[in-house]
Amino acid sequence: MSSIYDIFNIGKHGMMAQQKAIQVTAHNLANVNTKGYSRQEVIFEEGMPLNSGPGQSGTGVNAVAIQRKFDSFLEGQLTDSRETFGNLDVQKKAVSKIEDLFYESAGTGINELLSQFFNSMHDLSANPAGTAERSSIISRADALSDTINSVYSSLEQLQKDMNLQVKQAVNDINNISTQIASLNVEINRAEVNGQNANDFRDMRGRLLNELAEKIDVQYFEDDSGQITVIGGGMATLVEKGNSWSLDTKSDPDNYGYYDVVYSPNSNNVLKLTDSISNGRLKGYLTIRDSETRDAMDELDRLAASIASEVNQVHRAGYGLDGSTGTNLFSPSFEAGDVLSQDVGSIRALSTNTGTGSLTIAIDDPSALKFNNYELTFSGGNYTLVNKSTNASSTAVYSDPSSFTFEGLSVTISGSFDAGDKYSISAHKNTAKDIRAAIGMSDTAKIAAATAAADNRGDNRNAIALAQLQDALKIDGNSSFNSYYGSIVGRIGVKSQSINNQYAAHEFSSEQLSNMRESVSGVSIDEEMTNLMKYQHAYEASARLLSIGDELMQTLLDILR
Amino acid sequence: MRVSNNLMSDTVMGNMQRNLEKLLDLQNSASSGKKINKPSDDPAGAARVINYNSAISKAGQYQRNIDNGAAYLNATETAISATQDIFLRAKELALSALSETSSAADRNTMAMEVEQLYEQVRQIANTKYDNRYIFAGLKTDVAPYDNTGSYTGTASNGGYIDVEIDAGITMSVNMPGYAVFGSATDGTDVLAALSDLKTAMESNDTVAIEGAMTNLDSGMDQVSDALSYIGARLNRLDIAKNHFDTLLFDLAKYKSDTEDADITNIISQLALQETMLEVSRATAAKVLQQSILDFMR
Repeated sequence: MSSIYDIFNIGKHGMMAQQKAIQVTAHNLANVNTKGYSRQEVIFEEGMPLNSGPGQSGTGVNAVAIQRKFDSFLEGQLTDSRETFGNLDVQKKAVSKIEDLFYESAGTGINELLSQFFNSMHDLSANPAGTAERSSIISRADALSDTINSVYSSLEQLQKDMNLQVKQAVNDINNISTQIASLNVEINRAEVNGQNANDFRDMRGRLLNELAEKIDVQYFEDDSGQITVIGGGMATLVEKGNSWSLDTKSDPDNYGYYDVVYSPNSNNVLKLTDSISNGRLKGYLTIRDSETRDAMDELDRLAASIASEVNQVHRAGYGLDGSTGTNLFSPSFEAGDVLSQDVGSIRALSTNTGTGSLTIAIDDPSALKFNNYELTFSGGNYTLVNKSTNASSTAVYSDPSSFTFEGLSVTISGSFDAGDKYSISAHKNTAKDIRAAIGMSDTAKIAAATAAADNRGDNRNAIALAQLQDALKIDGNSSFNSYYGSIVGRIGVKSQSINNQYAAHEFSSEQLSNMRESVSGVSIDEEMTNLMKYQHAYEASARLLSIGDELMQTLLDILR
Repeated sequence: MRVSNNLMSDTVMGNMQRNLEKLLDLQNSASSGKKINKPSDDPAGAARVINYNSAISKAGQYQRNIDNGAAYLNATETAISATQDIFLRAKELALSALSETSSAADRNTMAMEVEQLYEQVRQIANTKYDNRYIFAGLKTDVAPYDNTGSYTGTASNGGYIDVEIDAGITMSVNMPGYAVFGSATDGTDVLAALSDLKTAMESNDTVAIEGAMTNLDSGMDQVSDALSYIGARLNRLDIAKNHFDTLLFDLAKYKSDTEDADITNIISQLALQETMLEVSRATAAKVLQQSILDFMR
């Protein structure tokens, strides 16, 4: 048996289903330009058939679900791609800043000023008593120092910016984690009731991508549709409705710059800095702790070598006023100068527990190599490692002991515990502090002569100073200029490699997002066609109601 | 493949962006005239440019050193040449003083002229160039021949002032007085010879005149030796200077080869890139304009 009411029902359900479809189409169209939106589709299913007369008769259509078009494999790849993008984007911009600081074709930079400084020494050798020549040396020494100072402070500024960005990124990460956790709850609440939380899932996906841009993440979805997010290789940031925040902590062993730390509970603080492997955070950390630091170290080394070598020759000479032993640059790097903790030439690790004291002084300026060293105590021994060559030497330590290496003399006294560690770099901060040590009013002190007698005509020390320019004073195989050239070359290679990686990554990520668009993107043409389709179906269903009405009328007319 | 609206606009935008980026790079090269604008454009090249820059600056400085040295040597040469005529005149006077026909009174008059000659030579030996006594050795602030005509400059073997004319190569650009005019201890003291001549003429002593003349002769040899020594060094400076002219030219060429853009090439690439950008703009305008809406009533 079938009833006219069934026709009404089919018509009603048809209209409702098509109307739902039109609503979803409208939603799709409205979100055609929404980032991360996945297009949705209504799933129609035929109604439960009724057993009747000649056979089962259909009961029309039901809109059973709204699905989003989505490829989870692609989404995973896109998330990975965001991590790399974040990392490379930071590094690309920062390294390009660094290379701008070092490169000069026009000739206003360190290299040119270095040449000019030594040229002025030549000019002095042509006229050793000349006042103009002497003033020119001081003003060029000033210009050279100022430029080294300013490049150094720009690098330091960049380093500090990166450090602030670390803090900012950690704040952003915490913010996003909280939002993801609350979306987890929303999604679970909706889906427990059999709904598809399409839009919530899109929002969560978008947040996940934003998170991935900041830090490397791994994530998986559990049965309840909630995701667990692990950031920086080991920190659980989100699990179901809970989120844990990262924090920053000033690291005394890294010039007070921030460490990223993770404390899942109050008595457990994990240092995350070294395990972060991708995302903007990695970029910030790399630039802060490697790129700018390397460049600053090289600049320090250049400045220290210039100051030390020029001063050595200058001290041996005599000025017009008969003075000798004067330095042309400060810091002086003279025998007996004690390395200072304040400028960071010696740095004790904050975890040192021993009470011993360490004094390092310059023993022989001509033997200085300006490498970075690390002094470690273990048992009754100390080990000195040259960080540049990795050469190490171990000796038995007794209280007190003293030894010399590469122009430095070390005196250790008191007791040290195993594991106590010191970083030593005599050149630390020289690029920041270097300046001419002779004032414009003291040009008579410039030592052009090799003896106090005949010091107005004697130019031999001026020539010796001028000849330093070609001397292979850095590592025994570079002059000052060529060392500078090698710094520029190294930074150029670094920047070039990052640019290439960036370009390659840009291309592959474009391919990925095209693939995603192809699956999840909204096509207006398609939606408009669907709209017409659904509209026609709606009209047809409505028509069915009026037919039903007519049928009912016919039936009632019989009874009249 | 399913094509969505964003896929289409993203692709068009991406291509346009890439074209714009290339165009910017080319414009940068064209306007700066350089293909290396930052080290990453060509790291090895950038390091070479740095080295060329320092080499160019240094070569320029060596040229300046050479010019300074040459000026000093030229001043020395001029001064010394001037003494040659004086010595010739002195010799002439000595010869005529030796002549049988000269009387004691004649010799006395000649002695007066010789005294003037002596003063002239002493003045020349105390020549200043650039406010420095050029024959004083290193004691450039003190006149090397004092009132009595004795040498007070830097003593024998010392007193040469060097300049660097090439990496590690120095050359002396002065002549200490003892090597030109002699001193009590070195060579022939020409001032003493003149003074002896004058005394001998005054005392009408032909034997002494003859003795002074012999000294004058060896003094003249000494002066012309000094002149040829200076000439040789000026010659060497000239060669060195030419060397740096060539070197500077070569360095400038190497530098330009390394960092300068091939403008013809850049301009043609620029034109090509502009065309490509136009094409992608036109495509964008066409593709993004239309949708099915245009065909629905």
